[in-house]
Amino acid sequence: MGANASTLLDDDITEIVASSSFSKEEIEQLYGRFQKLDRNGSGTIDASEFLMIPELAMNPLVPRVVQLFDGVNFKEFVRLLSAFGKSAPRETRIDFLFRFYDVDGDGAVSESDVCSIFRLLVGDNLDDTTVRRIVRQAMLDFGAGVEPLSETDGNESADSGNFRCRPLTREDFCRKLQQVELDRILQISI
Amino acid sequence: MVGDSLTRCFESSPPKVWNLMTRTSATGIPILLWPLWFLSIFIRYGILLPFRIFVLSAGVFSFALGFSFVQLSLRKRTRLKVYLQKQLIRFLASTLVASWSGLVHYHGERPRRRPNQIYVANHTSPIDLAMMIKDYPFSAIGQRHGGLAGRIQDLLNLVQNHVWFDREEGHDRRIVQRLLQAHVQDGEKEPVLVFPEGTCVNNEYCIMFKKGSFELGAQVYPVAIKYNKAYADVYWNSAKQTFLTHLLALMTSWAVVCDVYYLEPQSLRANETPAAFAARVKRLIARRIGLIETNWDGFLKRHQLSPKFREHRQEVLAYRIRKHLERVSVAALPSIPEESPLKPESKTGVDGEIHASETDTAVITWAQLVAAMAGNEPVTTSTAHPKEAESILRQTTCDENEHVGSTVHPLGMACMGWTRGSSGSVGIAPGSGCSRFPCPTLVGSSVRPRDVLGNAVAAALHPLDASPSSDARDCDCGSRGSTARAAWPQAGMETPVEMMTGNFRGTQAR
Repeated sequence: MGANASTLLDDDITEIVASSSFSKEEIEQLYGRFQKLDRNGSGTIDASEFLMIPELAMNPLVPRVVQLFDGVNFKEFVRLLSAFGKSAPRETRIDFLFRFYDVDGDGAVSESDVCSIFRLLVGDNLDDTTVRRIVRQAMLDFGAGVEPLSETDGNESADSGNFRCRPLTREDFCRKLQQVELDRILQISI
Repeated sequence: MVGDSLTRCFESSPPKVWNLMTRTSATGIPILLWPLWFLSIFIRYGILLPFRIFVLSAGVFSFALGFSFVQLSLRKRTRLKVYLQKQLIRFLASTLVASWSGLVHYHGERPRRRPNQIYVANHTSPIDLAMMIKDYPFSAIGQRHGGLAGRIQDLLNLVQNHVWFDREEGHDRRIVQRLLQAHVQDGEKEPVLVFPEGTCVNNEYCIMFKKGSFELGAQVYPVAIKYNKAYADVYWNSAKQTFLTHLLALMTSWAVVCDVYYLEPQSLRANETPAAFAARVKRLIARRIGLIETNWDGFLKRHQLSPKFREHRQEVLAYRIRKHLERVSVAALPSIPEESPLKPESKTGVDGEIHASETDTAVITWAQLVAAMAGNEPVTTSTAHPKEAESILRQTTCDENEHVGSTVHPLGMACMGWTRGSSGSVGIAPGSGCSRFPCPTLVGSSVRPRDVLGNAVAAALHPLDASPSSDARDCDCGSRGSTARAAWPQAGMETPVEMMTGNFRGTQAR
């Protein structure tokens, strides 16, 4: 009764601790949490199980979060979360951010990536043009350069002009996020 | 993701330190104490359990005897018969309580039979009912269980007017409502006892009170039931235990020590919605016995949150953006970055902050938009000093928080950051990632554009950070439910938003 039956072996723990930014205690805590989230005890957490977390389900960005986390086993769970550890290196945090925004996974955050994230935020409540303008401004603010629209790119609508934003690379992220206190923003206490 | 405030309500939380009285596993107990631990096991299982089983069977047997005697000898339904039946039921409840070595202290005025009254209590385990019936033969309303709990329910129904409904029927709220209404209005029947949380909670938290019992127009008598965790863990986690194992666990614990508080009767105030009334009563109960209030619907224990919540948030965000755009005029958005596209830095000051004057130059920046989404326009440090903002937050009454929706307001979140997160930290409006951190920059001055992408993501991932630190309870004591979860004064929020947030509870889960 009430035993903290943990099937996590010491070896596993040391291995996971070595590959993440969490301490041993935190890993154990996370494991307990993982078991709770894994309602059907399958060893992986799938989308529907994540959506049982009401706070998460409330967040407009949840589809993207779930996309990243869908079907994780414990090791992957920890790896994804390790961007949020207290002692996580800056690199890891930026990596996570970048992956989050790189929706199509092509290694660069393009306008369409940001657009889809922004769409999640506002749903269908804003029209396409507005969204595109806002996203473009965001990209510019973030330091994306512009490049002339090549002939082959077809007809963009009038207001997008003859330019498009160059996709942001990981280096852009590193550069721009230099002064952001990522440690403060991307950190969770376990 | 690493902890949410809902799950926490449904986890049993044994005391951290082993004190011989708790029934914990051997892990975490120093080796030196193991002999003691084995001794405690021996006493509990070897001596207490058989003795209690004896008490229980003797009690049930004499109850059966007495009950059949009353039934057979007194054919007519006389007052004497009714009286005897009631006493017998109370005797049975006492037997049950005795079989856990229950020690119950009742505080406050004892219940009497009056027309049009309803008792509401917080819920930890079905044994709450035994605790209550021991003192007074309440009628209860609840879901029909299967197994042993169901048998006991049937038995109780022989003598009393309990209302047990099936889960299916429970879905049709109106049926239950009608049953309840009929019962309450009948002055002949015993007062009804309702557990408006609708599910068992671990006696540390208090979840949303469903409003059904509060819209009958009856006087509401709050009852607060608090168990002493040091002797037994009373919470029935029905996902893990059957009712029988739950009872066995109790019978092999040291004792069930419990305080029952009868609180002052409350009635619906003028201009008060039933939902607000329910929340007020909940607060009374939670305060009396030091439970942490949360606003979750017990329904979410087993069901997924309705996507309406998310859609609602999107609407709010879009609405704020649109409003902001109206102000700055859409033309301000870069139709095409012809001028200075390659030098976006020029829009920001040296220190990366937008200067107040520049906000007027019809150049809308992403940062402003995010600020708009968060509902707080970028203001210069001169206008909103952190201190000032804080004092406003303190002024807000908790009544505004009756609607879960108001916790969506990001400044409420900022406030939560200040008070180091309250139990009620429900969520956060996306895009306002920075506002949940107690950073003066945010509340006081404009948001730095460079933070924006990061903040948006941080906001997105906020649920990862949903765990208010474990000491939330400590810092929460003084301000529970008031400043901590206060809503921002509705100054900037126009009707649509208010309307939407007001509707929040209505759309919830159903």
